[in-house]
Amino acid sequence: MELIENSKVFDLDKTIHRLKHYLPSQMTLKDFVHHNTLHPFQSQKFYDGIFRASELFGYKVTLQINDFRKLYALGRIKEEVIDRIVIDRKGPHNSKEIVEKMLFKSYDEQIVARTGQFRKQWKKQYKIDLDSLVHPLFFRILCAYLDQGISLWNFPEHEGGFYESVKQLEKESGFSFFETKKVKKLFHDENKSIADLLKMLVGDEAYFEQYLFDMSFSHRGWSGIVAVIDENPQALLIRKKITLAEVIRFELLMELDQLYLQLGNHWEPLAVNCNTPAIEILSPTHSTELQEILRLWQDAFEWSYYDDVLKGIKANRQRSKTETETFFQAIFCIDERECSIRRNLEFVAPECETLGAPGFFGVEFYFKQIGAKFGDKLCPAPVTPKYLIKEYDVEYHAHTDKMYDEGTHSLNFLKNLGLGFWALPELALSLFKPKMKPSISDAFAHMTHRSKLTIVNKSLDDIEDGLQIGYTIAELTDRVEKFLQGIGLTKNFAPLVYMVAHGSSSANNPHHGAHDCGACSGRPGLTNARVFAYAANMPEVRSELSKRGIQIPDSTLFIGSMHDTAADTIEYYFENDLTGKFKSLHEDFVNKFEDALDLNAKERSRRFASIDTNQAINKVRKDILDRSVSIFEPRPELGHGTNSLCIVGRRSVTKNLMLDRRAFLNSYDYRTDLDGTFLANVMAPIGVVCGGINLEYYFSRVDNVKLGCGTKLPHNVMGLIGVSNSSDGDLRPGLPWQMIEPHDPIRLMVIVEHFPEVVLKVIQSSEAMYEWYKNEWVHITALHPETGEFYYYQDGHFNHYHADVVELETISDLQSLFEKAPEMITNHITDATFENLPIYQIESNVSCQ
Amino acid sequence: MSIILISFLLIPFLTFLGSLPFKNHQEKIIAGISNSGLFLQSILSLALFGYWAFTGFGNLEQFVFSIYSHKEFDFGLILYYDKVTAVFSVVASLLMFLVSVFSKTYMHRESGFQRFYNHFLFFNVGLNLLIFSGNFETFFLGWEIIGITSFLLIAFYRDRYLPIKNGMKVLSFYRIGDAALIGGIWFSHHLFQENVIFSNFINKSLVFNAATHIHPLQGLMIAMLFILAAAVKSAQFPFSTWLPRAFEGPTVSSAIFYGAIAVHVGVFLLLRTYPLWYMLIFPKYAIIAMGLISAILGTLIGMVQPTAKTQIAYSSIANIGLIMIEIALGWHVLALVHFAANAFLRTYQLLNSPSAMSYLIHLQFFEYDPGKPKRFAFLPDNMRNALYLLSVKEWDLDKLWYTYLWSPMKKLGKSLHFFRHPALVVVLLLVLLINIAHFFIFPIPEDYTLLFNSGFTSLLALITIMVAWTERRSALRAWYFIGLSQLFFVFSIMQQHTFDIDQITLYLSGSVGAFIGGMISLKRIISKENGINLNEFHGHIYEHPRLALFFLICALTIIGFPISPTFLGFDLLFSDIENNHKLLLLFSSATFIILEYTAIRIYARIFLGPHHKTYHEVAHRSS
Repeated sequence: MELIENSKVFDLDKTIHRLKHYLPSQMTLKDFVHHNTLHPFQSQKFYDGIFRASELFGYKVTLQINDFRKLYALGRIKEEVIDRIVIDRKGPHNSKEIVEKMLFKSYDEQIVARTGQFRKQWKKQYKIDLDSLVHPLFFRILCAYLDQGISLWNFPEHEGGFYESVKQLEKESGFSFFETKKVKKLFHDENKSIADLLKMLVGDEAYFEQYLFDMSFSHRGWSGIVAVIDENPQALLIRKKITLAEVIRFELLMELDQLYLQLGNHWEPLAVNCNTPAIEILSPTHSTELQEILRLWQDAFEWSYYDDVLKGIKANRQRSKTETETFFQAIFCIDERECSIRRNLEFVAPECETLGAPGFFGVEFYFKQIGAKFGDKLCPAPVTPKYLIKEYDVEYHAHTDKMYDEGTHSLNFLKNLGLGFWALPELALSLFKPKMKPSISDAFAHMTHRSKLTIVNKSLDDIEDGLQIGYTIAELTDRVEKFLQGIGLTKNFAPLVYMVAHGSSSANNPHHGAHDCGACSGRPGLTNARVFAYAANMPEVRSELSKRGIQIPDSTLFIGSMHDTAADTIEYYFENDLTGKFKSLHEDFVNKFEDALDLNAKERSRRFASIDTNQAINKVRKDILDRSVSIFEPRPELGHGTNSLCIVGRRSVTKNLMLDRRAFLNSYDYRTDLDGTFLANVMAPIGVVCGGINLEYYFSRVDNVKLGCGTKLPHNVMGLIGVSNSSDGDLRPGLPWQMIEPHDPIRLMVIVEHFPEVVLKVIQSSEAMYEWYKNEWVHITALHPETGEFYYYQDGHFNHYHADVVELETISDLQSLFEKAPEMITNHITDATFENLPIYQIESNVSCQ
Repeated sequence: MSIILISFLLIPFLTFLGSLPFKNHQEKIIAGISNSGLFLQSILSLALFGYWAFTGFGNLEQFVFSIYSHKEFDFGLILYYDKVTAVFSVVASLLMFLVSVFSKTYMHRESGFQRFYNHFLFFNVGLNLLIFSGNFETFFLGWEIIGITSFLLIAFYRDRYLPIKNGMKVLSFYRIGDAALIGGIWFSHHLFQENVIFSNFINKSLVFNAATHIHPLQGLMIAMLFILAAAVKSAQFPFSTWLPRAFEGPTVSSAIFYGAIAVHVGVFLLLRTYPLWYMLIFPKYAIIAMGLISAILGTLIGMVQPTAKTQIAYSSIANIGLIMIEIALGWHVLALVHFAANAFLRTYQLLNSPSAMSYLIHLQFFEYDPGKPKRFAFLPDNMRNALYLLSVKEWDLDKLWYTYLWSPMKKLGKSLHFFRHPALVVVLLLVLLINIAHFFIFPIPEDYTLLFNSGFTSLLALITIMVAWTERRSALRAWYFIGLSQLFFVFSIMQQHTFDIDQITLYLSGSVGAFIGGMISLKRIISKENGINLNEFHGHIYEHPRLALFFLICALTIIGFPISPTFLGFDLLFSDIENNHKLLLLFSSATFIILEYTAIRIYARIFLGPHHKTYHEVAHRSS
């Protein structure tokens, strides 16, 4: 660790900037946007970054060495992979010795974070526990100020922001949050800067930055959310003005207050009696042998799985394919949860072609539901839409739940009595006969079923909230064109093309947004499906498209729809009632969808202890539906748990492979895009969306209590912005235990069906995109479309990767596979991982129709 | 028919026992036992309610058996059924059953699944004992079980800091209530000169009121002690701040304990003891004042709460305040109805509290109104802001206790640390030896000299326990001082005119073994792990769960928790304290308060909290 030279000056702006960089950047829970939890370290190579994070902040960043060893003993990590990895990384000379170390040497795995060490001195020097004394009230004041709608009596806000509001509150009330006169005075003193306060508290300037890191990271959740709001005020529905700097200033004052209160004047600034020198908190970290060993294990764990996948793809390619005529097409989100519904749909309807693309379907906008005061952003998080789509011609119905009536928090005697006796049967019903109600998050309620939408712009002057209302025809055409070209669907349109968005209904679940569509900023994507279908059906758009070479025949109709991934139901949206041929076709296809949903429900049920997979399929389906509206069910679905692959290419690459819902599937046809022009668009969101999801699951799995938010059972909703464990606890960003249990912590492997040189050119075309691969936070392999060989990216090149051709185990009866599949007994990785099934080749027993 | 009451002891107890032998992953069996036991209990409870209503609301009483009997004193398990029992039993059984069903899925794959159900069902045992109790002894038995299971479920997530810290906080409040209850029971024993049986209250209230004419102070004392105990348990002013901090366990346990049942135990106590104080003016107004302040402050603090669970906590406190007023005014049917409504509503709200996120955000989407008039707009700005600020600070109630109770007590304890000096320890032991010698030479003390005075000896018990309580370094030393304190306590009882050697034997039979067991387990953990002190939490339960359990059992035994004969001895010794030995009573009950806290503290500091070793995932301290 570098020591700080005495001459170093404290630069507040720089420190604040650094803090903001390293603090958790999770948004408020209403916009659950998956991201790489250790994003601040992404400019470094994966292993360097995570081990640095571990040393700085004390996170655990891989499984424990003993867990790896157990996985090896259980055959989950393969011996030949270990040998190959060790030779590959370390050369053949001392590989034996290294393997020996991996298997037997004992290491001290204790982690001591660099942050927190200096501030600990308060306890050592003065036996004073500042965290305990300051945190509860500090968090409460912060939460009361930021609250989005829990408290019935709001913080009296002042336009000056957080600090100013507290100041005004104190001035106008005559009372104070501070106990000592000295600090009360300091609080109102405009001239006291953070540096002045630090001078009083810490003394020596060399320690200032270290102290602020220690203090802010003692409650990384609250500091993080403040930093996020400071940078993006739109993170809150009801805007609050707050900066990290003023919050730091306030907290320093609270600390000073407690010091004066507890110790009177019998204390000196912390640095005075501190015998450890000041350190440069962000100075480089050093690698250890243990880290070397852990990275070998991690690589071996990952490749033990990837190897099977690559072999499977290769074997699959060599099987002859039967081409069938396509009667309908269904375009799903790339989401790995849709991997199984696509397979099941193809199984029950071989005449169906399924495709995958990011679930906002290329149309980015804010959406305002009828009666809504705010717009919902419906596109990937990094995109800022310029368009607004509104609902009209439909009546707004308020859906309220009387159990949340404000009266229950007042002395309204009759209301309390009445609702009290209403609560008992309500509770009993919700246990024994669960059904949808207003307090449950209903994916389909994000749009009103029979509403009209302002999809087409009437006049360029139609501006609301600074957004253009609707798209012009040209804008719509651009979007439809780009989208269809991206997935390679530019001809052979079937009579009906379903745009299947997805969302997730869940009850009693603060993290419900994490189950919705990631490409729609954590919201259900039904409006996007409807908007796209509407545009693709417009004669004006079609005629424009035909000028650009895409002929959509009149006999083709696009239909918007949405799949509820928790309840396994699909709803369809029409602008006009279907007639004639479309009507009968649709009725037929709906039955197919229903059959596929049955199978999908059964497949998912294998991981749910409360559902018997072997019972009649309609019962399984009913149980799955009930589960999505059960307030006592902390796992309405398993979200993105187990995700580990992303395959960009034609469906033929993966068709008839049982990938067990672990692959993001993005349709792309290299034949329509030999030079990779469209591929750049396709690849742009893969790292940030799929890689982000994958890494969030990875880190929440390896350190669920620091990087995840722990078990959700004790969670308390704080101000509608996040959850904490108790009334006095820090905010907990990350994913709960209940979501990551089945997840194997391995990085995402992206497989692109294109020539390696094209893929390389494409990923290098943008620095932001390239960083994911260059720094190995995500793996990437090119699948040569002509030879079928694999090329794995490493250190700037795609190198040939030899995958043996093996005969995959073939399976014709997937249902019985799911019925017999093991269920984890504990959620420890060595138990949990066996829920994840190997890759199978599916024997298609349905002949062409 | 009253024989049926016994089933409310048997079913909970058997259900609890039934849940013990299974492993954590045998979820279906554990939950199945719990669900069926509680279902049966609910059905019986409803049936009994129906029968009782149908047969004209007559009270039932059932003597179960005598645990210990000596001379005029009889420690019997007596059950009683009247309208208070009826309502509490039905409400409690139904909610316990529903929460049990809820938990089966909710707690799935939680590493403490079995532990949760064990505690939950043990709580049910205590709850039924309390609700069906026909005398104070039975009542106290239930009360104690509820107290400990409360702590264990608050500290359910034992590998984090806050659950342990707040568990200890709640425990410290509970101890005030426990001591008040013991004092109240003791005074009533002496006032009535016999065992107090609830069924006699109707008639006894006349006797009682006659008695209070002769001993007005004693009558007032009894009333105030019971009110104090009730106020603590029901989180009334000024004890309210523990309730929102008790929500550390899984939402289900928070709901059943602090939404539904445990928080209403104070209501039950006041309804039960009503005949003892309703003719007295001061206690009655004290309750009304307390209820009113709780209702108003609870509502105000509740209104500013920005978190889902704490909002419900304060709203519940406010409603219990109203219930307290109803009791004081004698509107008992209304109070019971209100209790049932409050229990149902808060349980529902707590169980649904995670929904707040999606539901209220959704509501804001449609109903947010930036121009909404301010709350209490009719008040002048400064007054409104003052109310707001004070409510955010919870009216400094926490500070009140810290500044005026815990802090001075700790200071006092620390100032007694000179007793740790070896020379003084020798002196203390000498005093003890002389006491013993003196006792055998003069079995019945003739006169009260300073040294052989039971008041003085009990003061030594108090001093030594305070030394143990404030010990921050050596766990063993703290434990030895606990032992020393126990010896002084026993001898202080022996120094009275009337004492019974059997009772002493009963008491020592458990505590001597527990002391030695505790000592051995402390020695073992100290030899295995470095750097154990009492200044911080170590979390050694992660590696030593069995040792931790063993130590916990020893600690519970030594504090007289009803799992060993020590409990009986404890109770008996207390009832043995003679009427004219108020000093002995005062010191002994103070010792008793601190003893439990001290022993549990040693357990918590060594075995609970974030694990010292960080080779596995350890949560941040603030989470």
